[in-house]
Amino acid sequence: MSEDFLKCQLGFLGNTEGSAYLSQGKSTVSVSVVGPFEPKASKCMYDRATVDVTFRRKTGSITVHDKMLEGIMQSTCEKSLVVEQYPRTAIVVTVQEMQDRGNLLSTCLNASCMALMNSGIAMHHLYAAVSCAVTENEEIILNPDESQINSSVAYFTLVFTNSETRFLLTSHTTGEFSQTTYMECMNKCYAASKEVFKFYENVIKKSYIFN
Amino acid sequence: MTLVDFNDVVLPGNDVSDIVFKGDTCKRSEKTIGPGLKSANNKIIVCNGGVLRSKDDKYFWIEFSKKKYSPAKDDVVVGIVAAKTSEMYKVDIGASELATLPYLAFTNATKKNRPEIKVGNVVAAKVKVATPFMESEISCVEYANRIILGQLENGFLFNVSLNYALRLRKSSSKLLYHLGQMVPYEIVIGVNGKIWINSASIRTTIAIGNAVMKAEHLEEEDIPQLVKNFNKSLNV
Amino acid sequence: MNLNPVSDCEKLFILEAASQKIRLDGRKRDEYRPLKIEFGLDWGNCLVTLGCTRVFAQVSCEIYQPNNSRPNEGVLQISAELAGDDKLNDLTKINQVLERFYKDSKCIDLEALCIIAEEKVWKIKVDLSVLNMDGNTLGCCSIATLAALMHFRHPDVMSTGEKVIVYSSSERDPIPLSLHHHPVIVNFAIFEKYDFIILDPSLLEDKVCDNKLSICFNNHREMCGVDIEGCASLSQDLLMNCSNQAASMAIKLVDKIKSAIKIDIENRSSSKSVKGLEPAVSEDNGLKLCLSDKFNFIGPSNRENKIEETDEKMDVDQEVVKITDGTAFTTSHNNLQQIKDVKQNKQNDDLIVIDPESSESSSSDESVEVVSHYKLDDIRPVIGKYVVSDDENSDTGTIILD
Repeated sequence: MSEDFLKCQLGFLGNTEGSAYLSQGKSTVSVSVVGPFEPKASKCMYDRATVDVTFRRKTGSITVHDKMLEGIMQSTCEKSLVVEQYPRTAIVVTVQEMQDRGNLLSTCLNASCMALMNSGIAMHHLYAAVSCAVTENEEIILNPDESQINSSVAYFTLVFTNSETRFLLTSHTTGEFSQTTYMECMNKCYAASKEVFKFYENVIKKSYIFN
Repeated sequence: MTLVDFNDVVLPGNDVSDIVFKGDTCKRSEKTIGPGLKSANNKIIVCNGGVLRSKDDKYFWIEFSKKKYSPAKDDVVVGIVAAKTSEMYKVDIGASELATLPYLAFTNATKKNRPEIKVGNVVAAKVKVATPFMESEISCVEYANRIILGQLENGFLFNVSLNYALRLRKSSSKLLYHLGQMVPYEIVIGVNGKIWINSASIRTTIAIGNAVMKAEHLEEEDIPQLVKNFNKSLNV
Repeated sequence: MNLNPVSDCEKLFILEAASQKIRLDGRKRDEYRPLKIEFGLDWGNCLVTLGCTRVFAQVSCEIYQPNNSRPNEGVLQISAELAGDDKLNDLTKINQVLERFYKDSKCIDLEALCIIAEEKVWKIKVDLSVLNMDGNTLGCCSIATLAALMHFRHPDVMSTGEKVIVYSSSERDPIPLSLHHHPVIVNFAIFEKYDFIILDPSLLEDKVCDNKLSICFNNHREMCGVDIEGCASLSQDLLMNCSNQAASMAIKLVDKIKSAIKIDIENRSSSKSVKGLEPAVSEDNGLKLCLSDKFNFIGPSNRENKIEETDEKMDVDQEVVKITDGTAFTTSHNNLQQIKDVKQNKQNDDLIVIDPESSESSSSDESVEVVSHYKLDDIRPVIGKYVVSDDENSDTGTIILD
């Protein structure tokens, strides 16, 4: 992973509790976190917070595929937040696509993690998403670019947590692959996720320098 | 896993049991963990990214920048009256929901004689009931005659970060004292990050507000310099 | 997006400041906040930052059946949405105004977008996402719309009788839209009682003012639309005065957009790797943190006597607040230096601090002191205090609620 692969700016939207503007390669997204605030009565849960993720395409129109991505982000965010700590509230995460040059899902997930972190909402753990593509020759390319994704036979997005046992949080796969390939990908992505966590740590260290 | 130490930056998910239970100067039962930490499976896990702090090897917490205020009992907050019902005001104190302020929760208020407060007014109040499971209740009843709570008139209201509001409230913060040497002013700092300022003229109020906001990221040593500049700008 | 309700204190304060012709952020009455326009990798994609208001725009196109009434004209559609909370449906007004001003001014040559009359035309869609609202949202939206439209290129098409061939960008260079003129909206907030008219209102000013006046001008000093919101009555002179100001402001804004596009196109043609949209990054380790946007909220007082070109001010990119103490201090130093003409009424050594807690904590005993210190040092405990118990059976520890 090259040095300036990930770039992140925290807290750039003043009206929200947390925000992150993250670019991964040439894909850029901006994420805002609002809450916890009082939700509509129909969405209110008495013992935990409701987490709502909205994914916005830059052209405004949402497809079925985008809805699926939204669902993946929603479950990932919800798993990481300590929702029991904020009963009867709602937390809204808005993911705005700004530039898509491949690996959009992993970019969105990483940005949402940074934004949640920035919002100061309690989290069980951080998470890092890594994408990889498998070519016809069973080669594994980490963070492939657009053309590599299109020519690949399988494409994975794996999300790992940074807790002691480093759980696999989410796995999203497309295409056909063998079990061994999957395990191999998992190992490679796991190694790459450490780099992402290092990046997170740098970002957070920077933001606490003045304290 | 790299070993973390006190005053280090920690991330959510990090396990700090080793350091919390290190040295065992006292029993495990005497250790208290505060905000940003939680215990699960007999381990202490960080849940907010920030700086790990401890006091007397007994109290442990994470210093992190929280954006949304969560009410705690006996906090002094500044709020904006958002609505009126038949028995109480609903006050926006910057928490996840509106707090209630009963009509009678004012000093010397009776059913016939109670302060006229309108929607949009600003009040300083103390949190009486605070749990995440129900609406928090605030009150403007003044105790011991030394505390001034109630409606705040004129002046200007602005927001700062919660951490900074707490820092300002500490007596060790010299900024307010130094500013007071230059111009007389009134200030109420709510723990919820809302600060109300009043002074003789609009310009001084703006300048004080400006100085208070600029000082957020300054070291304590730089504050006299800031105050000097502030004074210079007032005199020009 | 959560916006605090405006309190009476703020309202009265703004009005009083208006009566003394002071703006809270220290701008002159006709001063714009720093404007920054960034373009993405795709055509017609831009992020406009005006002060802390941020609008993201994307223009897209599709082949569409024309309206029956106008069979040989393309279609233009503009829609602005809030990214975030949908409860504040503040943007219907902005949508209406934008559509009206940009469609009716006929700035786009719609006839050039016709592929086959009565059958196929281009439909140009401008999608605006308002990421952050900090006043003058309409003005920022209009800058974003114009910048995106000027930047946008649609694929080349050729119709051979009945067949329509759309060329990809690799086959034939895409074509920019033909714009007759470049209209841009300039926003005023009017405090009628105090005869105080300000350009580019901030969020508070926007909420408190009597009247909001939006005037749309193009770069030829031609008026393309006026919208008045509010209840104050405006005199003819005032309107003329405002429109003169708006006209010269619009020219500056359009020039700014043009130069930003020129730079972008130069970057593209010079075959450097075009970066597109990405977070601004400082040199040290590839991370830059923009401290709270509200950092520059209360600025110096008004500087009527200081001559400063609005144009110059706008070239300054958004101020980057460095976190190291030295630089952080210089920024505040500069800002305070600008409070030149603050008149001082009295100088007294008194300080009246209404701090209810300070009187209380002095009486507290030693054991309470620890807790209060712990509290003051840090953020509130969230639910209560967790006490880790020694008991092996309970693995979550006992929770003591205080």
